Amino acid sequence: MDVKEARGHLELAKEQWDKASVAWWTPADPATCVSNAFYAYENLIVAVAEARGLEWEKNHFKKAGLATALFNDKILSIDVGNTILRLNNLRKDVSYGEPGDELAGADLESIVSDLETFIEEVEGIVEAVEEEADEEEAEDA
Amino acid sequence: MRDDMSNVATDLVQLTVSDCAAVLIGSAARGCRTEYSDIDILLICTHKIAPLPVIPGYHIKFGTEADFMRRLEAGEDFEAWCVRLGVTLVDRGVWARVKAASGEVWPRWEWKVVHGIRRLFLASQLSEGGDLLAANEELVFALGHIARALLLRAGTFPLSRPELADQVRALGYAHLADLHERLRVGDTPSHRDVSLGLLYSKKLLVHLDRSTYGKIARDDANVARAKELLRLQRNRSPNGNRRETK
Repeated sequence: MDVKEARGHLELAKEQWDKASVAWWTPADPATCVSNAFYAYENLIVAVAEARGLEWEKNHFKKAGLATALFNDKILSIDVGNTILRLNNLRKDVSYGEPGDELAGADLESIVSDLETFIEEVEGIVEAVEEEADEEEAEDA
Repeated sequence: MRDDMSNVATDLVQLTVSDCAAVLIGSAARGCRTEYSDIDILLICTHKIAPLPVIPGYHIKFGTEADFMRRLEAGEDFEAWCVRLGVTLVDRGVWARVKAASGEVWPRWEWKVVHGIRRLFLASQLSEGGDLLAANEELVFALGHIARALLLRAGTFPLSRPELADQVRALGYAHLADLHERLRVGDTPSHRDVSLGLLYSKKLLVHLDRSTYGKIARDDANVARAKELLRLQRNRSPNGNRRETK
């Protein structure tokens, strides 16, 4: 378990959420919005893994699988595995220079607001672990 | 593995009764994918299909026949790549028609510069935010677009991502080849390589097309300034909630 790593990934996700939010404002930049949202979700899953002392791998599909496992283990209240896979497809279209109809039709407002809700949940998990760590430190002192 | 791909292709074409085809593309089509590579499949159809299934380990790129032909004729190298190097998995007729009509269109390297600039700007933003892993990934895309631009300009057709390094090395860009490979296959991104990648990408993009680089950079800066003003206005507003204000 590495609480500092967890906090670090959570803060990265918050910054990426902010970039995704701004990209959603008019004139909307869907490519930047979905790319930042994708990386933010991945950082949030890594933050939970670090907070709970679980191993994670950099492979995108394994992070999506970990997201589903965290939901199945009732650590997370929502399964964002499919969201990560869907955003991965969208941002890959962008990365190839091939943003297609799916990106044009993406509901950026929902992407940004769902991500914000998920950040709040992960913040709660990380804060709880931070408090535990502080208490242990105080007892040791 | 080939059976898995064929099964996925069969499932994909069953999404519609229209004329469609599933074509294996990317490193899997070239037989050089790694454990980190997706299996890329082009699903092309006469009509739109939505929603597309999400399949772990696969990237399904959908296009209508009309859009595909329009982009091919406009000089996009993705479409040209599919036509030249794609491996047909299932075809109800549309793919044979596309191939017959495609001729010998040579992709425009100038498009790759535009795509490369976009990836570089995102990589730069991610790096500034401290997400080295994400910056590394976007830089691989940026360098890939640059490599393709250089190759197309020199009259060499770019192959799949794992093959690009050897191709640009043969063209005389050994530093680009080495950097691309270190960023692509390295387990842990290095600050040094990401910094080098950002600087070298900019240098090569400016070398390829200074005017386009300058224009996109200016346009991006203008939009960023306008949005920063919007953010300040929102913050001053008592009800300034991001989700309520667009």
